[in-house]
Amino acid sequence: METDEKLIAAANAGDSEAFEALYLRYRDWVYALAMRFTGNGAQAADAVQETFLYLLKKFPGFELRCGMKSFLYPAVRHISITITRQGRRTSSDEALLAELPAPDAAEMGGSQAELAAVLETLAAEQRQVVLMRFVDDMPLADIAEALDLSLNTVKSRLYRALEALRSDSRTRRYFLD
Amino acid sequence: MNKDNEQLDALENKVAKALGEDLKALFSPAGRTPDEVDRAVLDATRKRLVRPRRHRWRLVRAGAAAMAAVVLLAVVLNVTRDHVGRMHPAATATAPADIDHNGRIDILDAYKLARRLEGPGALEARWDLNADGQVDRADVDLVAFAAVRLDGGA
Amino acid sequence: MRYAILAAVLSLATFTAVRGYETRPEADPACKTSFETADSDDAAVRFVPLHVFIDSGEAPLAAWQFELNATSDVKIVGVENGEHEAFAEPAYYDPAALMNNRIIIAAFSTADALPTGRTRVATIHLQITGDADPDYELILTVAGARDGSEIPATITSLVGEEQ
Repeated sequence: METDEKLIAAANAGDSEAFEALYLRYRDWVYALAMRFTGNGAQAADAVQETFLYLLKKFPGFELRCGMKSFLYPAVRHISITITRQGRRTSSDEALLAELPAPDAAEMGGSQAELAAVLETLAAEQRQVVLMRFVDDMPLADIAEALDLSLNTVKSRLYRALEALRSDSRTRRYFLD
Repeated sequence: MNKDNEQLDALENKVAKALGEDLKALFSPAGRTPDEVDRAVLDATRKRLVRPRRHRWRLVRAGAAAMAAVVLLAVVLNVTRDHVGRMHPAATATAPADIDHNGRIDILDAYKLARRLEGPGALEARWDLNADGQVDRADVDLVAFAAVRLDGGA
Repeated sequence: MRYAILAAVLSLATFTAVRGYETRPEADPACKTSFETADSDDAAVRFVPLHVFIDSGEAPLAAWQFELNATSDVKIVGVENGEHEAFAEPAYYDPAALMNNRIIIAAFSTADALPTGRTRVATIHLQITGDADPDYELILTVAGARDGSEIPATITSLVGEEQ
């Protein structure tokens, strides 16, 4: 598999298939991320389209100096929030809820429900770092780049978040000691 | 904060895989990117990033192929070298790609050859520019490409 | 119940995002280092389409070739086909012209239905550095009729989205 850097170099040289490969590599992640920000499938789809059109406009001449997810994360966030504020396509809570996956017991067991409840108690910036680390599988340095924070700040937030999860009886089982 | 940083690695090592799995399950979207989005992005990509489709010269393959092409085009154009070594078409009308013998290689040479291919008339061996034993569309493309070359075309 | 929890999770994620956005309204979608580069690039570089038209009058246009020469602050980044279906095949040009400021483009068609009058034969996508309008010249090398003869024609262009 070609590296992101090679695909970017090829796209800079006019290779549309290289950009397509980048799109297919990150499309589903961008969609999942946009769903987190919008909670709405149609708006998330809009965000995917606008994110990659934004990226496309950087070519030729695009230079990536960090991880691709670090570059895309703030773009997805910015675009998703703009779309949400514009109330594009849907704006009512009913419509938003209609986009949610069907919540049955098989999909969302008791442990997940408890995890969701504990996440709600975390500070927003701590929760954000937890999701980037464990849902997006981003290295700490990439999280710092994406959020424009120092690495120490990211580590601090993640440490405090994990300590909170470990100290809560509902999520204690996620820790091995 | 320093204490947090020092202890983070140790704490992360204690995190069970189930945390990541359950978080992913919680935030996994039910749907997927609609096909219409795929089409919109890919259409825009093809419009913005255009490369020559008749001459898919990838940089990674350029070496041997480019050398062969240069040699072949030099023959087609009947190029000569001037005293500073710059390649240019021959001044005479004897270049093989000059199909209509008007002393200039342009798109009309390719067009006339294409018309001959589609017509009932006999094909002349001299139009087999790539020397593959047949006169076909590949020879037409070679003439057209000779016409648009930046370093020796029309 | 589970429905409500899931909704809460999603709304929390959204709240997190909105809050982060509001505290950094100037935040731009890029990582710090590349973002600075990208931003400065955005300010200095723009992309415009250059639509090229050939008018062959009443004569059907079977072949055409033109040359574009632009100043050094203009780079050619792509070539798009014209509007008539007789020229649906990609035009011929030297790949070396991409990211350069000079290109020779040509095409022919042996189709029965050929364009007459003014027709857009190509759109050239230009990358321009600076705020000035692109400075370029178009030279019509040749226009050809169905029988292969040269025909008089004029070449014009239009910069921008409008065609």
